[in-house]
Formats: sequence, structure tokens, C-alpha cells
Amino acid sequence: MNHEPKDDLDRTIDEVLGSMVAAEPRRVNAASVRKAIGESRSPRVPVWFAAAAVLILAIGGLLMLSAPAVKSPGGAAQSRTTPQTVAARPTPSPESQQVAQTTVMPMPVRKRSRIETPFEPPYEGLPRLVVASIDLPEPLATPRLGAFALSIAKIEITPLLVSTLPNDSEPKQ
Amino acid sequence: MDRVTDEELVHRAQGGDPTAFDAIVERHKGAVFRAAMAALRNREDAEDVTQETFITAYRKLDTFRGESQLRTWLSRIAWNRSMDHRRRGKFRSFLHLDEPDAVELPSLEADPERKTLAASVHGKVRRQIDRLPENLRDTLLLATAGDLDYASIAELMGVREGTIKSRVHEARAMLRSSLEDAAR
Repeated sequence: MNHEPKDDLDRTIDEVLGSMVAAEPRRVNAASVRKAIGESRSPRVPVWFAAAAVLILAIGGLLMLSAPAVKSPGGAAQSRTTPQTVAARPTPSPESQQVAQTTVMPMPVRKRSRIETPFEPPYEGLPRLVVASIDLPEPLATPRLGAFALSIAKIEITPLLVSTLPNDSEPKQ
Repeated sequence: MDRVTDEELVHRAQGGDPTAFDAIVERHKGAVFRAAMAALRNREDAEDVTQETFITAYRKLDTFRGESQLRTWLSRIAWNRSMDHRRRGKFRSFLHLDEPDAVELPSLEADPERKTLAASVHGKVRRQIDRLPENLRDTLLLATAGDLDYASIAELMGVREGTIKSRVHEARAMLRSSLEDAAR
């Protein structure tokens, strides 16, 4: 029995197997590993960036907490309100004046706690002012407002005669 | 550092001696690389895995208790990372993308014609190795690398030592059979 071809085959298999795994890494050494470990330790976000982000969040949080929850029927604190739809709807009263409606700019309504204006008992015979969705803009920045010219129509409101109303008709909060 | 044992190097590295860990890298990078090559059969990916292995080892060095040899422990990390690479499909088949590695085969033939013939035969053998079932091919290549004994390979692959022996035998027999069939 001739074993010569099989021996050659074994030798060839060994050579090929050896060539597939008998090698040394070319670019991995102690220095490259040390460098990689050092890089993986260092923070990926610059410190100044992280500090600025924390500061901004903290200021934003403080402003959110300290923002006064203003309920002003006459719109005294209008400088901080988001322009929305302001409408004075007349009730069927002969003294009803006019409908002043000013739509300035729709803005996304941000969810936040605020005091809702109760609408339950209308004053019969008197115009009712409905102020819809008062929202505070982003703190410290009003760039979107600057792009538009604000024009708020004159609103005339007949003074309410509180003394003529019964006590239990006061709006409750 | 050459005379210092692995145990001593680990102890010193665990104590914060950076030169000790450097020595560990230099001593075992070849074995780690060859284990990764056995799994991935691609030099670039094996280099990446080798680097990742030592980074992982550095971070987990405190957990090394010397229950297995340092080389086996490092090879196991490399093997697991290689399997991750494989699963993610990150490795490229050397048959398609690693032609430069393929022509690195040593050839003792001086005659260009015989050299070409030898390269062709080597190419056929490599293709047959690639077609082996994964568990047989992995075991055969790890055993061929020669850095780990059968017991360590068994520990690394999570099988019994006898299984490693039979896999090596079976892989070689399959290779021989397929090459003989192809030669007919």
C-alpha cells in the first residue's frame, strides 16, 4: 500500500492550517492597549459641555418652579403670555360690545401646571372674557416672537358690577 | 519580566503596576490573537478582538483568581468576543476579502510552475477547511495554533476533553476525504 500521497496530503493540510493561525498581531502591543485603556477611561463628553448642560437644566428648573402662576382677568401680566386666541364673546345682552379676536401665532402648547380660569357661572347679561390657554414662553428666549408683528385689537370691557351679584355666583377655584 | 511567572505579574498588575500589565500583554498577545484567528479567520477582526480582549482583561483583572491559567482565561475572553463578532456578522470571509492573507502561504517551491500548482492546492485545502462544520473547524484550528492543550481548549469551549480529541480526529478525516474525492 502506497502511503506517499496521504503523507503529502497530511503535510499540505498541516501547512495550510498552520498558515491560518500561526501569526502574530501586527498592531496590538502593550502601548496600543495602554492607549486604548486610557481613551476608554477619559470622558467622552467635554467637561465644560457637561457643566454647561447641568447649569442650564438647573436654571431652567428653578425658573419653572419660581414662575408665578398669574391669574389676571384683565391681562395685567401680558408680557409673559404666549399670544393665543383672545376672544370676548358677548352674551345675549343689548350692551354687548364687539368681538375682538386676535390670532397672532399658534405655538405648541407646553404642558405645565397652571391655574385654569373657571368658566362655570357666566354673568348673565354681561360680556364674558374668555382667555384661552395662557402659556409661558421658553425662559430667557423669545426669538420666535420677534419675527412677528404683534397687533392686539382694542378690547373694551364693560366693568362688572360685583355689588349687584349674589355672593354664591362668585367663580370658585 | 521574562522570568516572572504569570501569577506574579497578575498580582503586581492587580496592585496597580502598569508595567506588569504591559508584560502580560506582550507575553500573551500571540496566543490571544491566534485564538481569535481560529474563530474569525480574518486578520483585521482578530486584531480588533485581541485589543478588546486586553482592555476587558484589564478591567476584570480583579476577578481573576487563578483558577485557570492566565493564558486560558485570556483566550476564553478572546473566544467569547470572537463569538460576539461572529454573531454580529462582523467578520469577513477570508475567501472573499482576505486574498492578501491567502497569498502569504509559505511555499518552498522554486519553480514558478510548481509554485502556482502549490498555491492552487493550498487554495483548495483552505476552501475545504472553510466548508467543515463550525465546531469541527474551530476545534481543529485552535488545536493547530498550539497555544492551548486539549484540556484548555475543552475548558474554553465548554466541552469535555474527549470531545476535543474526537473533533480534531473527525475534522482531519473529513478534510482528507473531501480532498481525496476532489483529486479523483
